[in-house]
Amino acid sequence: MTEKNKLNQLTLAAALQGIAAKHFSGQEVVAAAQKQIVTQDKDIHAFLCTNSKNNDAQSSAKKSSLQGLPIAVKDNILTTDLPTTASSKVLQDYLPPYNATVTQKILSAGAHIIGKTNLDAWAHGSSTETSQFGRTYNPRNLKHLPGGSSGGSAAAVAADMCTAAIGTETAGSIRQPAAWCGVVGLKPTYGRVSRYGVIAMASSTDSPGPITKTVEDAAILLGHMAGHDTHDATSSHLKLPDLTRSLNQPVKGLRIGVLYQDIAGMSVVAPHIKKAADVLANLGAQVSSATALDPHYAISVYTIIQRAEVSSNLARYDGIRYGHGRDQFGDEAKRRIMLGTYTLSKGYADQYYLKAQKVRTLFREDFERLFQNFDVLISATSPSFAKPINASEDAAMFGELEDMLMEPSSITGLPGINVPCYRDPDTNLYIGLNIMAPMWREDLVVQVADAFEKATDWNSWRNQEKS
Amino acid sequence: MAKLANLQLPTQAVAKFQTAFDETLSVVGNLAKLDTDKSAPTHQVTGQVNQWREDKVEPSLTPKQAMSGCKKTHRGYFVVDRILDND
Repeated sequence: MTEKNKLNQLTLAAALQGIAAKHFSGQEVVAAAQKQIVTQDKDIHAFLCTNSKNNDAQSSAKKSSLQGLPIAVKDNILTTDLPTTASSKVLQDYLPPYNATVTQKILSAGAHIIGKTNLDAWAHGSSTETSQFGRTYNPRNLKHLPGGSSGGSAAAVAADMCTAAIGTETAGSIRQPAAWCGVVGLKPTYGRVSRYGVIAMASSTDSPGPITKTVEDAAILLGHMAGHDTHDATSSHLKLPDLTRSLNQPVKGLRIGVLYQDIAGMSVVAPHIKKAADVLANLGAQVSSATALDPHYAISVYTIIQRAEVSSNLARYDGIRYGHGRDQFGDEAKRRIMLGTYTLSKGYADQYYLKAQKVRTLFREDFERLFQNFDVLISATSPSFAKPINASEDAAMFGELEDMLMEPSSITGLPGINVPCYRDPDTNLYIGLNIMAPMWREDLVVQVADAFEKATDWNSWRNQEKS
Repeated sequence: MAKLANLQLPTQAVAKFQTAFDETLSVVGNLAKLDTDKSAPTHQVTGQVNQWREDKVEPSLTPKQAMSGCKKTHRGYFVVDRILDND
């Protein structure tokens, strides 16, 4: 049986099992996670604020689904009981008057929100270095970045400072930090999870999703997050199937296409993705190489659309109704707002914004073509291991270049998941495998990711003792 | 550009921002190579159109909640900076 002070190391599934068997309570898991935060977070800085209470776990455990377990929430998601800052001085000390829908859903399912995690300010970035409240460090190797923008959430999971976490992805911001921190990150289909109460970045691609220790945990947590919301006009009426039914399923006969291995800059990760593809082939999948539209074009599409939508979404932050003035924006936010304003301005909107939206159509059509011949597509999540601290400093396009492999699926709304597929024994840093499926087919990404995870030893929490 | 975006840039930062701007525009210029003459724009990927509901008042924020983050209020109003110069 797991010792009480190690309950924070359990996966979500194992913790739920242990609670159901009455070996321990959700409160005890929260207490262990809180202790871990006290000892570890001074070096990692995954959290911007923590919830010192634990007693709400007891009352919310009556709802039973998430049994009072500690979930960390990215600080661009509104929570009434804890400040929400988007890691920006503009929202320093801001206490929202309402919960995001996704917050309310997990609270109603009995979760305990253990704290709010650090991110690139306004989710603008892929390193968590643009946070105006200090960077987060990668728990696997403190000299390296955790990725971003959900770097705090990924780091909190990697360091067992929570049982699971919630992040958001606009282009790579769940999957890339999951890859760099060696954890699982699931970006659902756009429209699967409500964006109401998520501080908006690019409204046409923002997707909240789970960051977890295992694929099974992601399947469980997404089940509590997804669903139609009348407050979000883009949220889907389609019901998410029970993704736990996609676990432990064979992949024999599935057609899997491998993307992006031959483009420049892939030499570090390509051999490991090839080995991952071989694992799936040995499991009986039909694996072959596939050619897609050059993801460098997706960088441009995303850059333009994201900055255009950001310029509109961040116009509301004027310090009048809440928050502080626009002089408090950091440099990265200012760069993005101005570029977005430019690409929407008279005389330039057709050349940039409209053109980007048309190229987005080309990417949609390209994926439709690919999915006629393949059931899922795989690629590296990131072209590199986690980069060293300060790598992103003053680089105007750092985020977009790091997220190049994610941008095609993000701008087209596809579901995708990152699973660890290699760990360097010298640096303790990870490479992630990205698995994508057609829209609304989270069941396929979970099925393939779960099969891969169970056929390999890259997952830190694999073979965990029964709780 | 900063004025249009309602931002203030310190003078010494302008050159740095100009360089970053140019770098970004040079990257995104590659889209001109693609033929999109026959492509309709994709503004959002769900394919959904306007979602309607009945025009009925539903529970919402109270005035107190709505103003809870505001530093300057006056009798239930948000106070804004003066924008007209003539009295």
